[in-house]
Amino acid sequence: MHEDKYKDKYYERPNGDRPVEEWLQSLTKQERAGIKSKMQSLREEGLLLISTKMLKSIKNIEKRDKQDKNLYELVYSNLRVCTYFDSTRQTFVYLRGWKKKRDIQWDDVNNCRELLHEYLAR
Amino acid sequence: MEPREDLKRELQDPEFAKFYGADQARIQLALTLVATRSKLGLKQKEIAAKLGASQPYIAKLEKGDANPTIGKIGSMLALLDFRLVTLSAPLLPEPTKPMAGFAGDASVTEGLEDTGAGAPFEGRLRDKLPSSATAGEALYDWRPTSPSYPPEAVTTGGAV
Repeated sequence: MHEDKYKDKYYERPNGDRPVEEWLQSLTKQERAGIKSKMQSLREEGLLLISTKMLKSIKNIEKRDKQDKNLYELVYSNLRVCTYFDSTRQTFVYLRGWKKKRDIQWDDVNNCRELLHEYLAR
Repeated sequence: MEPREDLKRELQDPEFAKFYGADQARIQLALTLVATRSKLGLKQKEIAAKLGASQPYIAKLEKGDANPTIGKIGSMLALLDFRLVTLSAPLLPEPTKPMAGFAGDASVTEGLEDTGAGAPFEGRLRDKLPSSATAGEALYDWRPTSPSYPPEAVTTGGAV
């Protein structure tokens, strides 16, 4: 039977901002449907999505911290959503979304990390 | 609003639902193709050669980015000794249920009983469709021995 096996949530910053939820509103309906479809598959399949490359581990991080190994990016076309897998709560936390350009977006990856540290500090 | 509720709200819009349904079909196909390839122990390059396709195209299919015709899917699977089986399931599956862990605690286990109300049709038709069930179970063998992957999770992909 199909069912959600994992939970997920949009990260809410201390100031009340919800970066991914707000970013999704800036996308077209088709792009939003694509991202939300991937999120649904993440709730159903979890880390199995890595086998399809729809979910990728974020590896290009200098001075990786222990928790960085649970940092992933959900991929839809040129769109990326950075997500942290909170294994104790079996929950995916969506931290930040962006449109990927040709080069690695260091600012986006580092910003994603900052949000992760902010989330973990709470 | 949490992502699941957010999705439920957006699915009220038929245009959004159409885009969503198309993407879900591509994802399910991708999951099934990855499972099939892994079961056969082949690399993308090897499977591409068998199918007369390019490796980048196989990668695209497995990533859910390609949009092959249903005939093309059938042809590709036939070359791998599989066939297409299609199934339908509720657009939005059941939400996450708490883990049952306290024997005798009715409040915990009560909600976990499967009434079949939201189950994919294939669950109820399985006895009547022995060949489909066999194909689905063949793929199930490949899946990791995790409780996260019941047979239904594979067969509902649509292609076996």
